[in-house]
Amino acid sequence: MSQASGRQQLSHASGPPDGVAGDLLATIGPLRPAGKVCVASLAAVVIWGAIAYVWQLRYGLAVTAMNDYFSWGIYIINFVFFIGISMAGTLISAMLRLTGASWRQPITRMAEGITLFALMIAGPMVIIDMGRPDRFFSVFRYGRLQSPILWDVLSLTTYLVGSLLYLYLPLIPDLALLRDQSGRFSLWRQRMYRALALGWEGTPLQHRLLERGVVVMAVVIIPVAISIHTVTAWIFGMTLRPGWHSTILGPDFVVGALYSGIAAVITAMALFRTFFGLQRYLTVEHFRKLGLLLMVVGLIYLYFTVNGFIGSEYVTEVVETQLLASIFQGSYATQFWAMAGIGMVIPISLLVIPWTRTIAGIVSAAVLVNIGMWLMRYVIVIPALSSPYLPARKGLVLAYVPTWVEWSITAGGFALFALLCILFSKVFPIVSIWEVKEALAAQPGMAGPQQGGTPA
Amino acid sequence: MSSRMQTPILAALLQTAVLCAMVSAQAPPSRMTMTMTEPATSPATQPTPAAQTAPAMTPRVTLESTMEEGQKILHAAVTVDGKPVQSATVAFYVRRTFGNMLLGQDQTDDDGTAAIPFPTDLPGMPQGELQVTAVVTAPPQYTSGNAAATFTGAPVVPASADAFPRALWAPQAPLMLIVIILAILAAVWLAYVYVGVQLLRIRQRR
Repeated sequence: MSQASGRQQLSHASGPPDGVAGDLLATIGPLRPAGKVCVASLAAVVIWGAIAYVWQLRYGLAVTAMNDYFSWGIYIINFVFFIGISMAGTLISAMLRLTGASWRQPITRMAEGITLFALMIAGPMVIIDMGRPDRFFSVFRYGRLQSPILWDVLSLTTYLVGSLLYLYLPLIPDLALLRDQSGRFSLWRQRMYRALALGWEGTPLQHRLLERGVVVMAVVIIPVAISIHTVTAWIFGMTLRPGWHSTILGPDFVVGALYSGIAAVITAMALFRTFFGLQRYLTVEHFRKLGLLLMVVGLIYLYFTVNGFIGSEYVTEVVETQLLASIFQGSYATQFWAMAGIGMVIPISLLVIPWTRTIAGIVSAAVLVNIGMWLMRYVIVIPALSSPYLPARKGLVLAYVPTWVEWSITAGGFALFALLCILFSKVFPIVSIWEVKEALAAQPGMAGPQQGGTPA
Repeated sequence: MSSRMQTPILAALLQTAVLCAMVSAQAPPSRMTMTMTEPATSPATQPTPAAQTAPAMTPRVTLESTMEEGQKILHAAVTVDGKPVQSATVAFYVRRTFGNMLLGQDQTDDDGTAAIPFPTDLPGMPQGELQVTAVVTAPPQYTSGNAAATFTGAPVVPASADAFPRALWAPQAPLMLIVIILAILAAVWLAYVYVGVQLLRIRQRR
């Protein structure tokens, strides 16, 4: 049997699904009661966030804690955080695909999905921060090509479209599989699967065209992803402010994005593995490999962070010294040391020590990294705004404490992100069926998915 | 408030009211004398030392430019009631885009005239005009005196079609920046189009 015809059998199985397809298609089934409660709770939080946003639209940015000094607040922290999370799909899928890492197959789709949904949350955060959403179009009407803000808009749009394409391409064979499950899905879903499957029959030519598209996207999406993180960093780095105006900020943001992106994928893996019963496909080996990757990137990020602070500490320029004092031992010391502990020291320790490098240890480290990286964004954005070069009005205490509106919209954003991930996983296979089957077929003697690693 | 404290204050208020009445009744109104390269017409007759004129008065100031030994000179003549004011300080300003630029200062001599060299290399307005102002800055009782005049003949800087050259800070971005950004965007979006074509071919080649 030729390779192409073998692929045809693997990636386009007509009739009832076999073992692997059956397992993975089972995740698309209706929600269980606990799942329904979860979705309802998330939807309630999203609605509450929407109400808070309507409130903000009605009364303006005055309902937030932002002012002349804190022109950016929690919305921009969320924006940078979600942009960082979006690095997940690029790293896991594109880099591992191009380097031929065969263990990537079960996790690529959720990584690509996380990228898309994180971008869908990050973009609106900027518009929410603007206060007047109608003024977003002024970016295009009056935008200056010299401004990193316009670069960010262009880069984000390009990355969003690229991520959508990159998610869609490897989904096509699975969409064809779903299309062929006649009678299993409602009419609108059958129509949607048929339209999106593009008449896929798994012919060798279609495979060649698909692979060509996937490889092109894998090559293109990496620099695009790096550009979005770099340009976002430039918005800070090209502003003359203590703590921001630094050349290391670009690479620092890229590595930080990798760090939080890998942590997000590990967290998502753990959740899907537990709730969808995917222990046979998302094995200990997957967690260990991603855990090691998280550890290496974490150490690099630690190195970058030390680099960022040590230069300012030694120059002892007045404003920089005041800023560092507020971060290390002043108003922002709690957030900074919490970030250092939760986001770096504890997770890296959990990943370095062999006997804590279990699924529980790795997932704990990943969750801590996510929390720590949000705090890191806080430490990047807020303290710098409280240390302006121009002195503040006499007697004014520069402090930023987000209001209930900002917290509500933030909670709504996070809930919407989780909701999108869940809804996606209930409409499309969260593990790439055809790629897992191909990987199994490529390994002689492999009888089942559990041989790719040790099931827990 | 004690009567000992009230007395000097009342006296000062009375004095101020009297001075105001004197100024409004006797002093000529403040005016700007526009002189186009014409000589001043207020000859000095009796020098009036500045120190002797305690009450505030609005002097008459005339402004002109002359050529002396090949050098262009700005003259300001300061008079009060037709009498030249001696030892008054006169500052000369020229109007620039963002305000007045100080050209120089001089003290009036016994004929009430202050003079400074008039720079000939100052770019003028489109027709070569320069708006010059002379302001009496001392002694205090004459500081309301000033005059403005517009002189022609200044060098004209030809209007540039490219007043703000392309730069990061200018309204128009540097061409190289535009080329780089467009090239990067074009490369990425062309790759997307290429992938889109592959998708179309997948649909067609069933």
